[in-house]
Amino acid sequence: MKKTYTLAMLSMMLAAMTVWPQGMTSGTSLLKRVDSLVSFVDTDVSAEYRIDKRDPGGSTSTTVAAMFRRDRTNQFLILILEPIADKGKGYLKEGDNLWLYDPVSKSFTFTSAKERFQNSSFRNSDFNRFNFSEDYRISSTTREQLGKFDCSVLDLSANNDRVSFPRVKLWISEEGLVRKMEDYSLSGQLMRTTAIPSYQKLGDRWLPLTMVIIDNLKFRTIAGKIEYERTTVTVSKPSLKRLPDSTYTKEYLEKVSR
Amino acid sequence: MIFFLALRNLVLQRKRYAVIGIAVALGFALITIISGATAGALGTVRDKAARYFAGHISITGYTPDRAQRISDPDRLIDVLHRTVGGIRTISRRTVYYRQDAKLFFGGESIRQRRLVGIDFDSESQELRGMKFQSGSLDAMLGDGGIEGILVSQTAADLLRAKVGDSIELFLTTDTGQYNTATLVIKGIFQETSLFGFAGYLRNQDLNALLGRPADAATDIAVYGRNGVDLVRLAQDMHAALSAEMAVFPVLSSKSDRSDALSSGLQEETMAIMTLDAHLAQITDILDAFTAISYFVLLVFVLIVMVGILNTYRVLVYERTREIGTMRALGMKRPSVIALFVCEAAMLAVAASVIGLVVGIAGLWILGSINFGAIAAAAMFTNAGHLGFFVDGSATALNLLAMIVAVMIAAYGPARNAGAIKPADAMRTNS
Repeated sequence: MKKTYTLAMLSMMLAAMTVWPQGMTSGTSLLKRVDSLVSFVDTDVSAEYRIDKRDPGGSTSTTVAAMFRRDRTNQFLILILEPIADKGKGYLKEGDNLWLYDPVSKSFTFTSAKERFQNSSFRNSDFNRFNFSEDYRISSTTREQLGKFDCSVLDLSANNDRVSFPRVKLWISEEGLVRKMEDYSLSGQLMRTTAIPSYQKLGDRWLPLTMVIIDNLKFRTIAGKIEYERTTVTVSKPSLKRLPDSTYTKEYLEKVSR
Repeated sequence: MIFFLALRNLVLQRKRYAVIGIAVALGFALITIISGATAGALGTVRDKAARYFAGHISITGYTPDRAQRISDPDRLIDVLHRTVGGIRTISRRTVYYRQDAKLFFGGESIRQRRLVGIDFDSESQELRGMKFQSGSLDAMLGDGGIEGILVSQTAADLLRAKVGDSIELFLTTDTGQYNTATLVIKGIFQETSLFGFAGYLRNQDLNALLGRPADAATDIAVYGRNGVDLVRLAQDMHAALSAEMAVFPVLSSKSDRSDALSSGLQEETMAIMTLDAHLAQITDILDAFTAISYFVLLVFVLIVMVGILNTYRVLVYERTREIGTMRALGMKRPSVIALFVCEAAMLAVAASVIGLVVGIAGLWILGSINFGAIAAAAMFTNAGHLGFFVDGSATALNLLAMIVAVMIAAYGPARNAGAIKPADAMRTNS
């Protein structure tokens, strides 16, 4: 009896040891796939971003910006096209440095990728490609139905302290695309929820078509219902046209801002 | 004799001297109001700044990588306790300087210029001057302050929050990771100036949010005993600490601090700054305001002196026969001059005293007015009201200046009065 029990326990442990790393391995490779499907390391990507912010209670604001991105060198340039008051403002990312250009004072200010873009829930760092496989490790994996998407749900913990959100939860559809993302603070509080219901295909990779970001810290109860600050991002006019190196320079930003 | 004669003449001629008296009283009332209001405003700013900048003298630790940290606050406090006299309170603080802290409530958010983690139990007596719209400092003492926060009226109004509401605090850790906490508002202090963009919470709570040990500190707040010379105290603190650790020379302004830091650090170094150093720019503004005010007052006093001069000329003319009679009775010329100058001095004293009373009444009335609607006044007022302080030595100096000014103005006509010949005086019809 005792022998049978011990053998059973050993078998279960062996099975767990076989399954668990495979689960983790498949989760890790899923993360790498997620990152690769939205990365454009062999070319440049550009698009127009329309960012509509709606405060709880109703006031709205809209920003339209042109984005040019080179994932290979970790650079991007953003030029604000609307509203008129901010037209000509721009952001230039070079590695870990992010510069804000003001066409009025014709000066560059060092800013942070962690700052909100135009005071919305969309952050400057959100223009970057995903890099989950490098910055996070998987804490747990489950499966969940999210609308019409059958998703793998990965609970991720940061494996370095450079990333802003120490914990992230991803809902990944079968195609390997992130459909929903929850960002948590160090204390475990849900800070932001992002839904990406649709993507547009560019070659063999994807770019989000629409994103809806809920700021879980900014909410108000109106008529008994909780309303969050909501930012809708619509990405249009995508292009994989290769751009000159001079595009990702301060001089170019100054020139196009005029 | 001259004194009693002057007093008698002053009383008998009071109708003639009334205009001069009113002018002098008004002038002195203005001086009293301006100096009292300026001293009150400065006192208010200093009290607020002491809470905001970590005491009368702050000690901030800087590391070679430009972070703010005191690695052994216990040792530093021990050195001060053992070797420096004149200290009333020493308390550790953690100050979050990154300016990305935000409070969220009811769909609104407000950025905080700084978050100050305080050992409320140690500093409670020093913080008693904080004026509260609602709630109180006592709510932050002991365990009651756990996960509590004091916010300014500015923040509470924008967030539409009240005492007892749970607000979300957002900040970033030392490595840049986002962190949040739910804190309960324990008090709303009345502050709408730049000192109002700060939140105060327990040192331990802030350290936990930043991922630091509970007793960590970035600053040490030192409060001096009443009447202590803060500059001297800072020098004593510097001497005591520099024997045990790296310390900058006592810094006299924020630009001094920037210059000291710009040259790079080899080791953790302490920066000692008095309140005046923190307030250098603000006191410059107040000093400029005071200088302008005193210039305006000087012009006013000059005008009054011209008025006194002219009025005295008329007075001397009108009292020609009286002067002639006194001279005829044997009063010497210097005595006549002294008589008139003495009358002027007495008038100045009496009018100045009246002016002082009127000035204090004026300050009291000014203090009852709510200047809350004027944004620029917020820093210098408490809950919109201007405090005042009538300094005895300054008042004595002002009184002396007024007496001298009036005497100078009266001297010319008095000399002319002394020059009147008795025979000529008796021949006049007045």
